[in-house]
Amino acid sequence: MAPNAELFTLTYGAIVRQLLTDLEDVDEVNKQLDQMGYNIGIRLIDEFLAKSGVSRCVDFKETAEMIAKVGFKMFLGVTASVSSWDADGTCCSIILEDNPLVDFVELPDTCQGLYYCNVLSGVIRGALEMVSMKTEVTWTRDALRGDDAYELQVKLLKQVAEEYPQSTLVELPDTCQGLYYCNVLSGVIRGALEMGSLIFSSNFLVKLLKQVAEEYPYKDDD
Amino acid sequence: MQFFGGSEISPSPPVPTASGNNAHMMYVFNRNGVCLLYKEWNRPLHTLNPQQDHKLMFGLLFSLKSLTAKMDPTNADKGNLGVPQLPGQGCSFHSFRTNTYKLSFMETPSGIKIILVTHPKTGDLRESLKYIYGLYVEYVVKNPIYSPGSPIKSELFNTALDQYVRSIS
Repeated sequence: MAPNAELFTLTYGAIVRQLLTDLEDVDEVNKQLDQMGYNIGIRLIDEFLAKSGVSRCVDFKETAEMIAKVGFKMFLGVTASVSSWDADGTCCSIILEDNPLVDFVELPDTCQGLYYCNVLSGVIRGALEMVSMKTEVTWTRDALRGDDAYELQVKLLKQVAEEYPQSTLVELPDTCQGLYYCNVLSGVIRGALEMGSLIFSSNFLVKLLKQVAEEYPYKDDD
Repeated sequence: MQFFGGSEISPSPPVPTASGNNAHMMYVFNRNGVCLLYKEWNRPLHTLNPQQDHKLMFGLLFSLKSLTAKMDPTNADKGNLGVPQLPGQGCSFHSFRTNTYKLSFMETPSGIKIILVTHPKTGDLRESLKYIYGLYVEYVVKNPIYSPGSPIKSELFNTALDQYVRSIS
Protein backbone atom coordinates (compact mmCIF):
# COMPACT_ATOMS: atom_id res chain seq x y z
CA MET A 1 0.00 0.00 0.00
CA ALA A 2 1.32 3.42 -0.87
CA PRO A 3 2.61 5.33 2.19
CA ASN A 4 0.14 8.13 1.43
CA ALA A 5 -2.82 5.78 1.78
CA GLU A 6 -1.57 4.37 5.09
CA LEU A 7 -1.30 7.84 6.55
CA PHE A 8 -4.86 8.53 5.49
CA THR A 9 -6.13 5.32 7.08
CA LEU A 10 -4.34 6.06 10.35
CA THR A 11 -5.50 9.68 10.38
CA TYR A 12 -9.10 8.63 9.79
CA GLY A 13 -8.85 6.12 12.61
CA ALA A 14 -7.54 8.82 14.94
CA ILE A 15 -10.45 11.10 14.01
CA VAL A 16 -13.02 8.38 14.75
CA ARG A 17 -11.39 7.57 18.09
CA GLN A 18 -11.35 11.23 19.06
CA LEU A 19 -15.01 11.65 18.10
CA LEU A 20 -15.93 8.64 20.24
CA THR A 21 -14.07 10.12 23.19
CA ASP A 22 -15.59 13.58 22.75
CA LEU A 23 -19.16 12.60 21.97
CA GLU A 24 -19.46 9.20 23.67
CA ASP A 25 -22.78 8.48 21.93
CA VAL A 26 -22.35 6.22 18.91
CA ASP A 27 -25.30 7.72 17.00
CA GLU A 28 -23.85 11.22 17.41
CA VAL A 29 -20.53 9.98 16.06
CA ASN A 30 -22.30 8.45 13.05
CA LYS A 31 -23.97 11.80 12.39
CA GLN A 32 -20.70 13.72 12.72
CA LEU A 33 -18.91 11.37 10.35
CA ASP A 34 -21.71 11.81 7.82
CA GLN A 35 -21.53 15.60 8.18
CA MET A 36 -17.75 15.57 7.75
CA GLY A 37 -18.22 13.46 4.66
CA TYR A 38 -20.81 15.88 3.32
CA ASN A 39 -18.44 18.84 3.76
CA ILE A 40 -15.73 16.91 1.97
CA GLY A 41 -18.10 15.80 -0.80
CA ILE A 42 -19.22 19.30 -1.76
CA ARG A 43 -15.60 20.20 -2.52
CA LEU A 44 -14.45 16.85 -3.81
CA ILE A 45 -16.91 17.01 -6.72
CA ASP A 46 -15.01 19.89 -8.34
CA GLU A 47 -11.73 18.06 -8.05
CA PHE A 48 -13.34 14.97 -9.53
CA LEU A 49 -14.79 16.94 -12.46
CA ALA A 50 -11.54 18.78 -13.13
CA LYS A 51 -9.32 15.69 -13.02
CA SER A 52 -11.58 13.28 -14.86
CA GLY A 53 -12.88 15.78 -17.40
CA VAL A 54 -16.21 13.96 -17.64
CA SER A 55 -19.29 15.86 -18.69
CA ARG A 56 -22.75 15.40 -17.22
CA CYS A 57 -24.01 11.84 -16.86
CA VAL A 58 -27.07 10.98 -18.94
CA ASP A 59 -28.94 9.16 -16.16
CA PHE A 60 -28.58 7.88 -12.64
CA LYS A 61 -27.23 4.52 -13.83
CA GLU A 62 -24.29 6.23 -15.47
CA THR A 63 -23.79 8.34 -12.34
CA ALA A 64 -23.57 5.27 -10.13
CA GLU A 65 -21.07 3.60 -12.47
CA MET A 66 -19.03 6.81 -12.51
CA ILE A 67 -18.87 6.91 -8.70
CA ALA A 68 -17.98 3.24 -8.38
CA LYS A 69 -15.44 2.97 -11.18
CA VAL A 70 -13.88 6.41 -11.54
CA GLY A 71 -14.56 8.15 -8.24
CA PHE A 72 -13.54 5.43 -5.84
CA LYS A 73 -10.53 4.63 -8.03
CA MET A 74 -9.37 8.24 -8.10
CA PHE A 75 -9.65 8.93 -4.41
CA LEU A 76 -9.32 5.61 -2.61
CA GLY A 77 -7.47 3.56 -5.19
CA VAL A 78 -10.04 0.77 -5.22
CA THR A 79 -12.84 -0.08 -7.65
CA ALA A 80 -16.34 -0.76 -6.44
CA SER A 81 -19.17 -2.48 -8.28
CA VAL A 82 -22.78 -1.47 -8.81
CA SER A 83 -25.71 -3.88 -8.50
CA SER A 84 -29.29 -4.40 -7.25
CA TRP A 85 -30.96 -1.80 -9.45
CA ASP A 86 -34.62 -1.23 -8.71
CA ALA A 87 -37.34 -1.07 -11.37
CA ASP A 88 -37.19 2.65 -12.14
CA GLY A 89 -33.43 3.00 -11.91
CA THR A 90 -33.40 5.32 -8.91
CA CYS A 91 -31.91 3.03 -6.30
CA CYS A 92 -28.82 0.85 -6.42
CA SER A 93 -26.11 -0.70 -4.30
CA ILE A 94 -22.42 0.09 -4.48
CA ILE A 95 -20.30 -2.76 -3.20
CA LEU A 96 -16.75 -2.41 -1.96
CA GLU A 97 -14.82 -5.62 -1.63
CA ASP A 98 -11.68 -3.83 -0.53
CA ASN A 99 -11.96 -0.86 1.81
CA PRO A 100 -8.72 1.00 2.61
CA LEU A 101 -10.35 2.92 5.48
CA VAL A 102 -10.69 -0.18 7.63
CA ASP A 103 -7.21 -1.64 7.41
CA PHE A 104 -5.99 -2.41 10.93
CA VAL A 105 -9.49 -1.80 12.40
CA GLU A 106 -11.57 -3.97 14.73
CA LEU A 107 -14.67 -2.62 16.43
CA PRO A 108 -14.76 -3.18 20.21
CA ASP A 109 -17.99 -4.31 21.90
CA THR A 110 -18.67 -0.82 23.22
CA CYS A 111 -19.05 0.54 19.67
CA GLN A 112 -21.47 -1.90 18.20
CA GLY A 113 -23.79 0.71 16.63
CA LEU A 114 -20.96 2.55 14.93
CA TYR A 115 -20.81 2.89 11.16
CA TYR A 116 -17.06 3.30 10.98
CA CYS A 117 -17.00 4.31 7.30
CA ASN A 118 -19.92 6.70 7.56
CA VAL A 119 -17.80 9.48 6.10
CA LEU A 120 -18.13 7.75 2.72
CA SER A 121 -21.92 7.99 2.72
CA GLY A 122 -21.63 11.71 3.47
CA VAL A 123 -19.08 12.24 0.70
CA ILE A 124 -21.33 10.63 -1.91
CA ARG A 125 -24.38 12.55 -0.72
CA GLY A 126 -22.52 15.89 -0.72
CA ALA A 127 -20.91 15.37 -4.10
CA LEU A 128 -24.18 14.34 -5.76
CA GLU A 129 -26.00 17.31 -4.26
CA MET A 130 -23.55 19.62 -6.06
CA VAL A 131 -24.58 18.06 -9.37
CA SER A 132 -28.25 18.65 -8.64
CA MET A 133 -29.16 15.22 -7.26
CA LYS A 134 -30.68 14.84 -3.82
CA THR A 135 -29.92 11.35 -2.55
CA GLU A 136 -30.15 9.17 0.50
CA VAL A 137 -27.09 6.99 1.20
CA THR A 138 -27.16 4.23 3.81
CA TRP A 139 -25.06 1.21 4.73
CA THR A 140 -26.69 -2.16 4.12
CA ARG A 141 -23.65 -4.32 4.76
CA ASP A 142 -20.63 -3.51 6.90
CA ALA A 143 -17.79 -6.01 7.26
CA LEU A 144 -16.75 -4.52 10.59
CA ARG A 145 -20.12 -5.58 11.93
CA GLY A 146 -19.85 -9.13 10.69
CA ASP A 147 -21.03 -9.02 7.04
CA ASP A 148 -18.85 -10.18 4.17
CA ALA A 149 -18.40 -6.88 2.30
CA TYR A 150 -19.23 -3.17 2.43
CA GLU A 151 -22.45 -2.24 0.67
CA LEU A 152 -23.88 1.25 0.32
CA GLN A 153 -27.43 1.81 -0.85
CA VAL A 154 -27.73 4.99 -2.91
CA LYS A 155 -31.26 6.22 -3.56
CA LEU A 156 -32.03 9.15 -5.83
CA LEU A 157 -34.74 11.29 -4.24
CA LYS A 158 -34.98 14.02 -6.82
CA GLN A 159 -33.11 16.07 -9.39
CA VAL A 160 -33.08 19.73 -8.48
CA ALA A 161 -32.63 21.99 -11.48
CA GLU A 162 -30.90 25.29 -10.90
CA GLU A 163 -33.25 28.11 -10.08
CA TYR A 164 -33.22 31.26 -12.15
CA PRO A 165 -32.59 33.83 -9.44
CA GLN A 166 -35.45 36.06 -10.62
CA SER A 167 -36.04 37.60 -7.24
CA THR A 168 -32.48 38.86 -7.08
CA LEU A 169 -32.73 40.68 -10.38
CA VAL A 170 -35.23 43.21 -9.02
CA GLU A 171 -34.83 45.07 -5.77
CA LEU A 172 -37.17 47.91 -4.95
CA PRO A 173 -35.18 50.98 -3.93
CA ASP A 174 -36.37 53.06 -0.97
CA THR A 175 -37.79 55.75 -3.25
CA CYS A 176 -40.30 53.27 -4.69
CA GLN A 177 -41.86 51.82 -1.60
CA GLY A 178 -45.49 52.32 -2.71
CA LEU A 179 -44.86 50.61 -6.04
CA TYR A 180 -46.66 47.41 -6.96
CA TYR A 181 -44.01 46.06 -9.33
CA CYS A 182 -46.27 43.30 -10.71
CA ASN A 183 -49.28 45.58 -11.14
CA VAL A 184 -49.37 44.74 -14.82
CA LEU A 185 -50.91 41.40 -13.83
CA SER A 186 -53.91 43.04 -12.18
CA GLY A 187 -54.45 45.07 -15.33
CA VAL A 188 -54.22 41.95 -17.48
CA ILE A 189 -56.87 40.14 -15.46
CA ARG A 190 -59.12 43.19 -15.48
CA GLY A 191 -58.76 43.72 -19.22
CA ALA A 192 -59.38 40.06 -20.03
CA LEU A 193 -62.49 39.88 -17.85
CA GLU A 194 -63.80 43.12 -19.34
CA MET A 195 -63.83 41.46 -22.70
CA GLY A 196 -66.12 38.86 -21.19
CA SER A 197 -68.49 41.64 -20.09
CA LEU A 198 -67.47 41.60 -16.48
CA ILE A 199 -66.35 44.98 -15.19
CA PHE A 200 -64.11 44.91 -12.16
CA SER A 201 -61.88 47.26 -10.41
CA SER A 202 -58.77 45.30 -9.70
CA ASN A 203 -55.87 45.98 -7.49
CA PHE A 204 -53.14 43.71 -6.46
CA LEU A 205 -54.91 41.77 -3.72
CA VAL A 206 -55.60 38.10 -3.41
CA LYS A 207 -59.16 39.02 -2.37
CA LEU A 208 -60.03 39.72 -6.01
CA LEU A 209 -59.65 36.15 -7.11
CA LYS A 210 -61.53 34.81 -4.12
CA GLN A 211 -64.37 37.24 -4.82
CA VAL A 212 -64.63 36.13 -8.44
CA ALA A 213 -64.85 32.52 -7.37
CA GLU A 214 -67.58 33.27 -4.82
CA GLU A 215 -69.77 35.55 -6.91
CA TYR A 216 -69.56 33.58 -10.13
CA PRO A 217 -69.52 29.92 -9.16
CA TYR A 218 -69.01 27.44 -11.96
CA LYS A 219 -72.39 26.19 -13.29
CA ASP A 220 -72.91 23.06 -15.34
CA ASP A 221 -74.76 23.63 -18.58
CA ASP A 222 -77.26 20.79 -18.30
CA MET B 1 -16.96 4.80 -22.17
CA GLN B 2 -13.48 6.15 -21.78
CA PHE B 3 -12.39 6.42 -18.16
CA PHE B 4 -9.55 8.65 -17.15
CA GLY B 5 -7.01 7.10 -14.82
CA GLY B 6 -6.67 8.50 -11.35
CA SER B 7 -3.01 9.33 -11.82
CA GLU B 8 -3.65 11.92 -14.50
CA ILE B 9 -3.29 15.38 -13.03
CA SER B 10 -5.11 18.40 -14.37
CA PRO B 11 -4.51 18.88 -18.11
CA SER B 12 -1.31 20.75 -18.84
CA PRO B 13 -1.93 24.26 -20.12
CA PRO B 14 -1.86 24.91 -23.87
CA VAL B 15 1.50 26.28 -25.00
CA PRO B 16 1.48 30.07 -24.75
CA THR B 17 2.19 31.63 -28.11
CA ALA B 18 2.14 35.32 -27.37
CA SER B 19 2.67 37.52 -24.42
CA GLY B 20 0.78 40.60 -23.52
CA ASN B 21 -2.55 41.73 -22.34
CA ASN B 22 -5.10 40.11 -24.56
CA ALA B 23 -7.79 39.44 -22.00
CA HIS B 24 -10.31 42.08 -21.07
CA MET B 25 -12.04 40.55 -18.08
CA MET B 26 -13.09 37.35 -16.39
CA TYR B 27 -16.05 36.20 -14.29
CA VAL B 28 -16.55 33.08 -12.21
CA PHE B 29 -20.10 32.25 -11.04
CA ASN B 30 -21.41 29.39 -8.96
CA ARG B 31 -24.68 27.51 -9.45
CA ASN B 32 -26.70 30.05 -7.45
CA GLY B 33 -25.59 33.07 -9.44
CA VAL B 34 -23.13 34.33 -6.85
CA CYS B 35 -20.19 36.00 -8.57
CA LEU B 36 -17.20 34.30 -6.98
CA LEU B 37 -14.59 36.22 -8.91
CA TYR B 38 -14.39 39.20 -11.21
CA LYS B 39 -11.04 40.20 -12.68
CA GLU B 40 -10.37 43.01 -15.05
CA TRP B 41 -7.28 43.52 -17.13
CA ASN B 42 -8.32 45.88 -19.85
CA ARG B 43 -11.80 47.37 -19.76
CA PRO B 44 -12.00 50.96 -20.97
CA LEU B 45 -15.79 51.28 -20.73
CA HIS B 46 -17.87 50.71 -17.59
CA THR B 47 -21.60 51.20 -18.03
CA LEU B 48 -23.12 49.52 -14.96
CA ASN B 49 -22.19 49.26 -11.31
CA PRO B 50 -20.58 45.90 -10.38
CA GLN B 51 -23.73 44.28 -8.91
CA GLN B 52 -25.83 45.06 -11.96
CA ASP B 53 -23.03 44.03 -14.25
CA HIS B 54 -22.76 40.61 -12.59
CA LYS B 55 -26.52 40.08 -12.61
CA LEU B 56 -26.66 41.04 -16.26
CA MET B 57 -23.88 38.63 -17.15
CA PHE B 58 -25.43 35.75 -15.21
CA GLY B 59 -28.87 36.42 -16.69
CA LEU B 60 -27.41 36.61 -20.19
CA LEU B 61 -25.66 33.27 -19.83
CA PHE B 62 -28.68 31.58 -18.34
CA SER B 63 -30.87 32.74 -21.22
CA LEU B 64 -28.29 31.91 -23.89
CA LYS B 65 -27.80 28.41 -22.53
CA SER B 66 -31.53 27.82 -22.40
CA LEU B 67 -32.01 29.15 -25.92
CA THR B 68 -29.18 27.16 -27.48
CA ALA B 69 -30.37 23.96 -25.84
CA LYS B 70 -33.94 24.43 -27.05
CA MET B 71 -32.81 25.23 -30.60
CA ASP B 72 -30.69 22.12 -30.82
CA PRO B 73 -31.74 20.25 -33.98
CA THR B 74 -30.02 17.00 -33.00
CA ASN B 75 -31.51 16.46 -29.57
CA ALA B 76 -34.85 14.65 -29.47
CA ASP B 77 -35.61 15.41 -25.85
CA LYS B 78 -36.33 19.07 -25.29
CA GLY B 79 -38.27 20.58 -22.43
CA ASN B 80 -40.44 23.63 -22.86
CA LEU B 81 -38.70 26.96 -23.23
CA GLY B 82 -38.09 28.46 -19.82
CA VAL B 83 -37.91 25.16 -17.93
CA PRO B 84 -34.65 25.18 -15.98
CA GLN B 85 -32.14 22.60 -17.13
CA LEU B 86 -29.57 20.78 -15.06
CA PRO B 87 -26.08 22.28 -15.43
CA GLY B 88 -24.25 20.52 -18.20
CA GLN B 89 -27.36 18.91 -19.66
CA GLY B 90 -28.11 19.32 -23.32
CA CYS B 91 -25.80 21.17 -25.63
CA SER B 92 -24.15 24.31 -24.36
CA PHE B 93 -22.73 27.22 -26.27
CA HIS B 94 -19.06 27.83 -25.65
CA SER B 95 -18.33 31.21 -27.15
CA PHE B 96 -19.70 34.14 -29.08
CA ARG B 97 -17.83 36.76 -31.02
CA THR B 98 -18.61 40.35 -31.88
CA ASN B 99 -16.50 42.79 -33.86
CA THR B 100 -14.90 44.14 -30.67
CA TYR B 101 -14.62 41.13 -28.32
CA LYS B 102 -15.01 37.40 -27.94
CA LEU B 103 -16.71 35.87 -24.93
CA SER B 104 -15.71 32.28 -24.03
CA PHE B 105 -17.78 30.27 -21.58
CA MET B 106 -17.49 26.97 -19.74
CA GLU B 107 -19.91 25.38 -17.31
CA THR B 108 -19.19 22.33 -15.18
CA PRO B 109 -21.87 19.85 -14.04
CA SER B 110 -21.41 21.28 -10.54
CA GLY B 111 -22.62 24.64 -11.83
CA ILE B 112 -19.34 26.57 -11.81
CA LYS B 113 -19.35 28.95 -14.79
CA ILE B 114 -16.14 30.49 -16.07
CA ILE B 115 -16.34 33.38 -18.53
CA LEU B 116 -13.40 34.99 -20.26
CA VAL B 117 -13.77 38.06 -22.47
CA THR B 118 -10.87 38.58 -24.88
CA HIS B 119 -10.09 40.31 -28.14
CA PRO B 120 -11.99 39.01 -31.17
CA LYS B 121 -9.15 37.18 -32.88
CA THR B 122 -8.67 34.75 -29.96
CA GLY B 123 -8.85 31.08 -30.88
CA ASP B 124 -10.76 28.35 -29.09
CA LEU B 125 -10.26 28.79 -25.37
CA ARG B 126 -12.00 25.64 -24.15
CA GLU B 127 -8.76 23.96 -23.05
CA SER B 128 -7.64 27.15 -21.33
CA LEU B 129 -10.92 27.39 -19.45
CA LYS B 130 -10.51 23.78 -18.34
CA TYR B 131 -7.04 24.63 -17.05
CA ILE B 132 -8.46 27.60 -15.15
CA TYR B 133 -11.04 25.25 -13.60
CA GLY B 134 -8.11 23.09 -12.51
CA LEU B 135 -6.49 26.13 -10.89
CA TYR B 136 -9.79 26.87 -9.13
CA VAL B 137 -9.84 23.33 -7.72
CA GLU B 138 -6.25 23.46 -6.54
CA TYR B 139 -6.19 26.90 -4.96
CA VAL B 140 -9.78 27.56 -3.94
CA VAL B 141 -11.71 24.31 -3.42
CA LYS B 142 -8.89 22.63 -1.57
CA ASN B 143 -8.37 25.61 0.70
CA PRO B 144 -10.04 24.71 4.02
CA ILE B 145 -10.48 28.36 4.96
CA TYR B 146 -12.52 29.08 1.85
CA SER B 147 -16.25 28.58 2.37
CA PRO B 148 -18.02 27.40 -0.81
CA GLY B 149 -20.38 29.98 -2.26
CA SER B 150 -18.50 33.02 -1.06
CA PRO B 151 -16.34 35.38 -3.18
CA ILE B 152 -12.78 34.19 -3.70
CA LYS B 153 -10.10 36.13 -1.88
CA SER B 154 -7.10 33.86 -2.36
CA GLU B 155 -3.87 35.69 -3.26
CA LEU B 156 -2.27 32.53 -4.63
CA PHE B 157 -5.22 31.90 -6.92
CA ASN B 158 -5.21 35.49 -8.18
CA THR B 159 -1.50 35.42 -8.92
CA ALA B 160 -1.56 32.05 -10.67
CA LEU B 161 -4.61 33.09 -12.68
CA ASP B 162 -3.13 36.42 -13.67
CA GLN B 163 0.07 34.79 -14.81
CA TYR B 164 -1.76 32.18 -16.82
CA VAL B 165 -4.25 34.49 -18.51
CA ARG B 166 -1.55 36.90 -19.57
CA SER B 167 0.16 34.06 -21.36
CA ILE B 168 -2.86 33.09 -23.47
CA SER B 169 -2.67 34.46 -26.99
